[in-house]
Amino acid sequence: MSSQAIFVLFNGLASGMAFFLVAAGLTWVFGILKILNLAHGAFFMLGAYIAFTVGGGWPASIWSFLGVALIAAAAIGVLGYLTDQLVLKRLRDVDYHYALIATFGLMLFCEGAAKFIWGTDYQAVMPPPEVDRAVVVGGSYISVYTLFVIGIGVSVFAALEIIMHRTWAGKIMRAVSNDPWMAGTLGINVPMVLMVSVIASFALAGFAGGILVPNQALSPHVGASFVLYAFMAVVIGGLGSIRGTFLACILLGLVESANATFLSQYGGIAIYVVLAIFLVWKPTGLFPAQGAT
Amino acid sequence: MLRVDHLNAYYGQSHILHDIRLEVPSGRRTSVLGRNGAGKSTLLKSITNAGPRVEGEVSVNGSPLGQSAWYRRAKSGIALVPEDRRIFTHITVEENIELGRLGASADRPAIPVSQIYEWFPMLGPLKARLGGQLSGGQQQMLAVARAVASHPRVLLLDEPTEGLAPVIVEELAKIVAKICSELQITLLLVEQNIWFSRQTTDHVYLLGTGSIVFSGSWAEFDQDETIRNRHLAIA
Ligand SMILES: Nc1ncnc2c1ncn2[C@@H]1O[C@H](COP(=O)(O)OP(=O)(O)OP(=O)(O)O)[C@@H](O)[C@H]1O
Ligand SMILES: [Mg+2]
Repeated sequence: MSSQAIFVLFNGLASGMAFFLVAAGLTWVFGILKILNLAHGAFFMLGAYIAFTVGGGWPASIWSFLGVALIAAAAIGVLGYLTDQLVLKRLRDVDYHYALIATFGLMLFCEGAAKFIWGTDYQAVMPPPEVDRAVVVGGSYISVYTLFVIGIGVSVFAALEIIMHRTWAGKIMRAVSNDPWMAGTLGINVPMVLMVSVIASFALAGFAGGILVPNQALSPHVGASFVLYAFMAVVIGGLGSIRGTFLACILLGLVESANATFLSQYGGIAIYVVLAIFLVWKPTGLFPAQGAT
Repeated sequence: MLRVDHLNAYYGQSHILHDIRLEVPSGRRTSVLGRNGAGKSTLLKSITNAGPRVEGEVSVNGSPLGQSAWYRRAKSGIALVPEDRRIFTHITVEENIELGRLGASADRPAIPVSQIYEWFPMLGPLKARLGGQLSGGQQQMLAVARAVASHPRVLLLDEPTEGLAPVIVEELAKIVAKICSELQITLLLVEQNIWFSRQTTDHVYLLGTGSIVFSGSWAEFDQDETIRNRHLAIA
């Protein structure tokens, strides 16, 4: 493989895993609540700011960096709980249009709050020192932070797969996603499962914010592109399917990376071509309508 | 024992069930008959608080369930097999049964899966299949199996024979009777298949449009031709 191809491959996988860290919570909540949470990206942004506030711009080590990301996850999880109690819970039985409007409003609110608290100046967070360097792979310089993001993305995917398919909690979650009425009739505490799913999804967004903040110029609009790609991946993967979303994220990451390297004069166009092809070819996604899987 | 007192049920503005009172003594089995649209399914869903707006009282073994939510009723010992089965389509047969076992409680330990396969021998070979890959009849069996896995005190069956071949109907009648007597289950059965009802129950309620118009044994039911003709479209 040429060194350029290796570069495209690693960068693409890293972008794909970054998309996935954002998309995982989005597709999970969709699978189980049937709500498309337009505010998901805003909570990713808040997670990034919380990580910046707690950890500062120069993480001392990879462990403190990971610890800070977990603190951001916990904080956004708490916000998820509050959001569920104040907003999402009221949307369980209403038409999905209301849910779209409500979560859009929530997104604007979060962005306003971030401007109010942190201002609009750009901030920066450095990668932790252990990964703030490059290694040579097949003649190409790959940043270790890139490998780190790939590792985190794959680990999160593996953890979600194990939870969903190998544990009781996952079986219960899939049953609720498939048919909440019947799940409740069998004695499953459906409102509790929904609440836990919302909290977990928000915590994932916060964790993604903490992990990905070094890639970004931190502002209240941080990660807007991630969020856009995450939404595309969720659509291509089949709304609610974690596996489908994972594959779609890898595909979009590779396409974006190849686009940037080989067709840099047409920035970002390839991704829209891919999305268009999928919308025509597989409008219900790679793994359609199975609920959270 | 299942007791329903002064139960009224509504879908939106429509008043579907009027002042229903019925009682099934512990371990006894009772049928509810009635025309299409009489409110039979609404009655079962009212007992589990799983759909219509309900007023009135439902109690199991003397403890009133009050306004407890539908997802708490399984823990009170009620299991419902709804008329549309609602098998979880993308998990396996065995996982469906395991989910049914979640409704058990300390005084009603869940039925071991091996015991379920003994009662429903046709399900054993299918255990690794996805629920969505079963035939309609197999799904019916699984729906009943999943319900009894919780070791219920009260079992509510909504037209379990619908769409089953006659030989399977006979088999299901034997299975239901056997399980109910082994576990001392109180059964409330909604059926169109009178043969099946006679086989499995010893008391009949007849539901007119939203109210009970007859209650008695099968012998009494057979004598009362007028009421049968008026409220059932059968000979
Ligand atoms: N979800 C609902 N919303 C509004 N009305 C309903 C709903 N479900 C049932 N109904 C109405 O309630 C009445 C009783 O319906 P129900 O399903 O209980 O009848 P049933 O006796 O079970 O009939 P069948 O033998 O056809 O199953 C009918 O008039 C029906 O139109
Ligand atoms: Mg019915």
